Amino acid sequence: MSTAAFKSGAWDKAKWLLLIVPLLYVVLTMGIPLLDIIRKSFTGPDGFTFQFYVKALSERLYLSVLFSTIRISLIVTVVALLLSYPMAYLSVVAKSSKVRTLITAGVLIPYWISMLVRIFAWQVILQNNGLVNQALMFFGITKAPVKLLYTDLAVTISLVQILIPFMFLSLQNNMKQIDRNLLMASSIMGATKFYGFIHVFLPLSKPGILSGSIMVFVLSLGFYIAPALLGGPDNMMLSNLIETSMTNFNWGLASALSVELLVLVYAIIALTFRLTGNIFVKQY
Amino acid sequence: MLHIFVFLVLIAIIAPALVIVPQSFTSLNYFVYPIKEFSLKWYQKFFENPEWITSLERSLLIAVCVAIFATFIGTLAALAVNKLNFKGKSVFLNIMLTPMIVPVVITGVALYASFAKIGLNNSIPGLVLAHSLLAIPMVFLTMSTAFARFDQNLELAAMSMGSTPIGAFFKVTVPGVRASLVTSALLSFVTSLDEVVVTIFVSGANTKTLPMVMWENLRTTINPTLAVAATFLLVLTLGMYVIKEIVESRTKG
Repeated sequence: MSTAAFKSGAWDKAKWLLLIVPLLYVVLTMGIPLLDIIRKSFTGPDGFTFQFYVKALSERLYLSVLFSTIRISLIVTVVALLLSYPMAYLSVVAKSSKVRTLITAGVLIPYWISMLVRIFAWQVILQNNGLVNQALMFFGITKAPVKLLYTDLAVTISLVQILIPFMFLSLQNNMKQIDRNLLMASSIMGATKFYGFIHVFLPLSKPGILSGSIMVFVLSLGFYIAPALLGGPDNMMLSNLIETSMTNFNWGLASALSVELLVLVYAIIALTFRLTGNIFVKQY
Repeated sequence: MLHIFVFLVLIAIIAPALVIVPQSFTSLNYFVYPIKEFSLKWYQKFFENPEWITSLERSLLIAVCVAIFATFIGTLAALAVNKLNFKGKSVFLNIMLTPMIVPVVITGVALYASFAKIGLNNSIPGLVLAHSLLAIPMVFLTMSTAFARFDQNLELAAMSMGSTPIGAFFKVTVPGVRASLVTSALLSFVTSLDEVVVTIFVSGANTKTLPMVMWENLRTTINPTLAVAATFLLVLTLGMYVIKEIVESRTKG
């Protein structure tokens, strides 16, 4: 008897429970509400309309929010990559197992601390009489406090801190699979450590870089709390615009902007999927 | 060099998350470092204010319900992928992961609109359903990995000794993936406890959670009671990580 047959027979009786219950749950609480939003985005006071999409894609305010959302997300992705790569690298190649575990734990600890608390903390740190400004003035770098809070910079810093674990885990997951004998081979052939890293290790870590970057980019596109608390009125991101339109009871616009963000997110995921055949990396 | 860089980055991502804690012990009514005089007066204010206490209790209640509910549903989905042969498995997989990919604001807007029709806004069941939706993909991922890793032959061995397939599953596999079940429940608990965005839309005057009260205060009157609330939230969320690590190390040992 094959394993598959063994498996199926008995479990098939529970099919409705295993398959239908979770499916029904997600379809009812996510699928149908999303379809409703798509319908709302095409429904004006006089029935079917494109007016909300025209508005979302032509008015300057909405376009500038869209572009600044993409710009911030790109910066966040690059910075998170530059900071995470050395950590992931060391967490895989370090000789001492203690160092390896400590790095991983160190990256995961902030991940488990409440996100709201972390964003609140940046408010306290970056305010005019906060730690950063105190330090800047103490060392005489500036005389008056620098405006750090309610800027793009504050939003970027906070997003980088929040999203580093996702980048790190993607990178680490991929680097663990790299055959280190290849590095040894290159050094036997006379390559320096640096040469070996650039020509052997780095190219092999590309899949991790790609999946980590896509994940961080997509997650930062949809961020809401950080820009709401750390950004000024000029640093809105798409999510904030959606919330504002909704609190103004402009359902059509809020829905059209939601669909716009959703299409953006799924387009990027679909593209990556086509390129690599895989996007989901293990998370924990 | 590399070690120093990594060390500095780690400090830079961990330390800022902790600056709030000492501020909850300040005697002043604003945040400033260094703290000159320590006091517990903001803790007293926190416990004297029914809004904080009620919202903390409500948050814990909702988070416990989500931990149970999301772990149950997510595990069912993971079992479906692991135990059943059916067409469109990848479609099923993608559907189960959507709540993780859809930006939370959109989830919030969509749920608010749909919940309004059936009167679930501003209700505890509504919040449990909404938070569970966000937690299910995490449980699903954790449990799928756990089931995939678990040696199927052990189940077959139990069956060859006369156990039924379902019996073998409960006697052999469930104890084998116990640590992952605990991780799933803790992740769901934390997801719910820390959720703000969907909650902004779905909760109301009678169902404010702790993060929701914090959120409102953060946008209006920032004072150190907020640091007390944040300290509780930090201890609770970080505490779950510690429990997870302990459970995992015990299972390995």
